[in-house]
Amino acid sequence: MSKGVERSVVWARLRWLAGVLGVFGLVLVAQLVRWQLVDSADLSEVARRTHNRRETLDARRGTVYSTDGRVLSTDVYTYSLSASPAVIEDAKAPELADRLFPLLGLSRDGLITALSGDAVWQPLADGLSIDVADQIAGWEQPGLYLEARLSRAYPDGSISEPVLGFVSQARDGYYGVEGYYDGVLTGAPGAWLGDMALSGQDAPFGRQVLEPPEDGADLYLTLDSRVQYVLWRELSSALEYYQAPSGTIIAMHPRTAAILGIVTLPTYDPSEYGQADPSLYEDPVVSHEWEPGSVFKVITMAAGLDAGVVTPESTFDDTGIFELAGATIRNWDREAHGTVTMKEILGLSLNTGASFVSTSLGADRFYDYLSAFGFGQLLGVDLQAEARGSMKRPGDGRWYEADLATNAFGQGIAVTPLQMLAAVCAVANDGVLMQPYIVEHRVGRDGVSETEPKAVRQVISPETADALTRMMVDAVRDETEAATVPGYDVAGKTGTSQIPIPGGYHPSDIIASFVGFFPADDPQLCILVKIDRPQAGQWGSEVAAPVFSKVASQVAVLLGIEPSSADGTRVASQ
Amino acid sequence: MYRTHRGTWPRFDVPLFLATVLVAVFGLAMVRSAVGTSVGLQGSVERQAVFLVLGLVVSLVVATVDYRLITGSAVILYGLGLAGLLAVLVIGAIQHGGQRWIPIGGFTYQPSETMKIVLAVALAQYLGPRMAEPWRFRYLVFSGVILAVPVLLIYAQPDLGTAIVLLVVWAVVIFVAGVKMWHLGVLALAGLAVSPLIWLQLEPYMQDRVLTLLQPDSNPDAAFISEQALIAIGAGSIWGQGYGAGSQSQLHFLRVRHTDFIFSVIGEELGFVGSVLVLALVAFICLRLLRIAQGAPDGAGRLLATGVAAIIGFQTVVNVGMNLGVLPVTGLPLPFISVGGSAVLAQFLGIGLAQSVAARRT
Repeated sequence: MSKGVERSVVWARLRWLAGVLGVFGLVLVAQLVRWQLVDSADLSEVARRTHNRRETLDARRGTVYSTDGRVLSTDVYTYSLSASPAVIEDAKAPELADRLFPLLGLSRDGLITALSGDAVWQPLADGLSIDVADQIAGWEQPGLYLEARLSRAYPDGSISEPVLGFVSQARDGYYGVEGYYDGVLTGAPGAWLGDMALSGQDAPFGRQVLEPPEDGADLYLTLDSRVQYVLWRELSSALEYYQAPSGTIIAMHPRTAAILGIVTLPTYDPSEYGQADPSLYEDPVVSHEWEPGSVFKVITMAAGLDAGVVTPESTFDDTGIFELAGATIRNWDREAHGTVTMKEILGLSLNTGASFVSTSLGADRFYDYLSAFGFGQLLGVDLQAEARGSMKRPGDGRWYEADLATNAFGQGIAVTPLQMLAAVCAVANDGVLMQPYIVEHRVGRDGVSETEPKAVRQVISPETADALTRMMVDAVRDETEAATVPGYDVAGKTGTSQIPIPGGYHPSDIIASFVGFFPADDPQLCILVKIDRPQAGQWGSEVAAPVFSKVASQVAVLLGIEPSSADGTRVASQ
Repeated sequence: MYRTHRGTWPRFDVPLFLATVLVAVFGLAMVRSAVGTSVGLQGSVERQAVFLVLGLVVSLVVATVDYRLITGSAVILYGLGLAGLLAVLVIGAIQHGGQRWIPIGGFTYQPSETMKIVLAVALAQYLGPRMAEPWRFRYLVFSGVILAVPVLLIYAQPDLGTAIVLLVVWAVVIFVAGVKMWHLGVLALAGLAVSPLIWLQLEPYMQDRVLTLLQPDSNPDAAFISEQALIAIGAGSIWGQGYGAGSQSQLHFLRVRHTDFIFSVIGEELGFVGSVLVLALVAFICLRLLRIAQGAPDGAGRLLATGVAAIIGFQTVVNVGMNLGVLPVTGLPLPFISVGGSAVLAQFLGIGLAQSVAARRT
């Protein structure tokens, strides 16, 4: 028998095999060390990022109600429709387009193009109502996708826009109540947290955590939608009748300074804010300043009376001209009215007389009163983007002595419409200036919080307020019949302001205004009417006063304000 | 030496027995974790358990039989093995892109798994007795023919991975059988020379897998699978994320996690410690098998145990290397752990044969 393989060789080769196995084992262990010990942190992070899904759940934004319970602004679900043309057979596109185009309001040809081809994703329409979405969902058409999202709806359209502002696509509130109360209305978003499987769906047995969203608080405004509608209707027809491009009406409760209605025109539909002229975004009532003109004489007279410089019966010799520091003040009719009482100065709206009162007070006292009435400062109203107005004072470098004379009749001083109305309301409210507000109460997770009417200060004495009110009643009765409201004593004042342009004032355009309140013995309603640049009509008494009358008589009925007799005593209501 | 029962009951290699049972039980637990959240894979744990028990029984029964009876029937077994492979090509079921399975009842049988053991038996039978004589070149040629027939049949399925396993089993067995080193050297050179031809002969999917390993960007899908495996293993860190708590596994980022990528599940859930433990157990099994080869009473037993060691060891290295991103993605299972009835039965059959050799050692 020949010699076979040596046993030692076999054993050596078996050891070799064991050695090779050991080397492979070491290579694998080295790899384990690399991935599990050295690079473990990075890979764990990759895993964590991939597996944790976080889906934000939108909180419902609070609803805004009018005081009479109407929804002014609320969240609704709208639907967006998109398609996956790659999933839809091209041959089916025309038939699908036939069904879709009446629902979406899009062109049939455009839809056919959009639905054909191999695109993976093609947005078709958004802002669809639930009815339309339901109908489309009912077809169960593969390749069409509906997605719901919360969006803001404003049932009154543009009417209440100046008060509301708008909510952007990103769900942020801008201007008005939406802007001022954005933090309150917004709430806190919730989230779905969970393990995400490779399929992109929830893992069947994975961890799922729901953090529910916290809805925003609801706001109940002092705004009355019926009043709002009256204001809107009357302003619309006034702008048309007087051929004016823009205007404002504000209604306020004089005792509390609760805002009952604000209408400005032109306006826009806040649900389509994107298409609106951005210059319309600001609410002119709080954001725009104007030189108020003669309505400001009420303030000048209040200061004069309260300081004791004049009384309603004090006289002034009107020569038709009042001169101060090189400035010459003339009356609107360019005439001299001889000896007139303070009452007549207000009734006839004499600039010379107003300048007499302010100069009699002196700059310090005059401007102290103006400040006390809230001019040149923020009122603190709960509407966004409030302006201060522009009031010059001695020593601020911009003031000239002549301003003392012109400011008396509302020139050279700029105020917001709301400032003007609030100051006149102070006269109606026994001399106490109230802080205007629009949110009556809000209802949130932490309960109901009521807005307490806030007195800013006693500006003039109740006696002065009373005397001034009588003067304003007489002025309306004797000189501004267009502003009267049958059955009520109206206290008020017209204004016809010139419009400042570089180097002076506009030669023809004016802003007509009227501010007043009633019933005079127990004021319930304070209204400011402002019509800008009327082409048919030149005076506040002619343009704004009749609008005041129409608005006041209707709102008086709506709110059930009891009429007063001609001699000032109340008629018992039925 | 461990001798539990003398006389009629064979002298088992108890440590080997315990190690295989331990790996099998541990593997079953990992399979349970891997398929726990997969609705489509419910029932595979139970099926795997049945096969493991069946495998243990087979290994015990085979261990009692003298392996020489089995190597003596090598020609018949080899014929049956080839018949199985031919049957696959004719009536086999196509799954996962390959024609590898024969449906039997509610199960599918994969003849190529059994062929690995059959090849070891055939080579042992042919080369074992010839170890008593000097090595001849014709041994190389004839054993090469024994190898080539099943390799070609398996390659035709196509299943490159299993074909390579057979090649390696042959190489290891002839190495221990005393092949002249220069024969091996010539063989290696020849292989190297024809490798470009072989490359061109490879199915596109096979080329893809190799390319993916070399250039991960070339095949995003395959690269994704490998990458997810690495993320899973890395996320396991030292101690692992805990049994049943690996996010890559439980959230299904790991594909074929109950078969090819079960090692990644182990890595993620049991960490470095668990992974090294599994490797150590399999290494221990392989070393026990080589030790059995060392103490075998004859050449056939020696080569048989060596072949089984090669099957277990090589598949483990390739499977774990694939999980760790150092070897291309082949469908080779992790022995005793990956789900697969045919593979588990074949592996236990191999262990049984080795135990039979151990029981008859001198």
